Amino acid sequence: MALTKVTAAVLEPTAVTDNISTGSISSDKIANDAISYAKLGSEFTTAAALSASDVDFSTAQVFTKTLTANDTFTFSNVSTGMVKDLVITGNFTLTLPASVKVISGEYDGTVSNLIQIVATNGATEQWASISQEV
Amino acid sequence: MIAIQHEGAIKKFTTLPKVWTDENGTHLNITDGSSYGFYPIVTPEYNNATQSLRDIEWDTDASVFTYPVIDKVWTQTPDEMKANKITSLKSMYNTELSKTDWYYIRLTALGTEVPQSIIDERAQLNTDCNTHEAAINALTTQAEVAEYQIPIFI
Repeated sequence: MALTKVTAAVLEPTAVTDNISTGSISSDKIANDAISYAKLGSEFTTAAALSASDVDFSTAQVFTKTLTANDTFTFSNVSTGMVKDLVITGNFTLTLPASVKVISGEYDGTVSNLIQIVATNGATEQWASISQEV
Repeated sequence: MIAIQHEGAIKKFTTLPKVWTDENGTHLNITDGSSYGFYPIVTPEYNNATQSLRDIEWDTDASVFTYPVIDKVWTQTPDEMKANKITSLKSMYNTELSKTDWYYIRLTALGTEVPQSIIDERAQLNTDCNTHEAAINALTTQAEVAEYQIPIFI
């Protein structure tokens, strides 16, 4: 069997190795439309049940909790542009950080509530909208 | 009605707000308002002819928001107040009498007799008006004049 020369299609291995070792990959090494859902970190793809009251924005996309008493949530690792979803049930008072501005909706303790948080200015300001299943 | 002291002012609400933000956070689904500083507004009974309510304030003893009642202070003298009251009185009766004036216009124009019931009714109105006027003139204090109720015709 004859050998086929394939070297022309191989990317420059040295250059790729260099970029990874320095913690970044130059944009010309990532093809357009190449980042799939599967490649996203768990902070964008997972749901986490909150056992305590801190919502760590770096750990999951969706946070769930059933309130059994009045509860005060704290936020951590919030950066501008992050969007997180809280799915909360329980007919108790829920206190979010004072940095949260509710722009629409009301919490209904009798049903499940989707509270979507958009960080508009890091830990300083987040906007929230609250909705329920119709 | 409920109210809360917030940022140096007392804010009033018809019901507990669905969302409330204070220095401790943004509170959703508040059920126990007093835990967050919401307390009832109690409006005291008062005589609105002689008294008025001041701005709402916090009553520490009763743990409610309420309006202190103060006696009114009039700028007019009793005689001036009586004159005004009598003017209002006569205006009210004049309006009531004017409803049956047309009987007398018809009498003048066509000679149609005014029914006795109308004549009696108007006479009673004039008598009543005079009675009220005398009663007002007999009053001596501003509070008495303020409290005096003149009839309201529907």
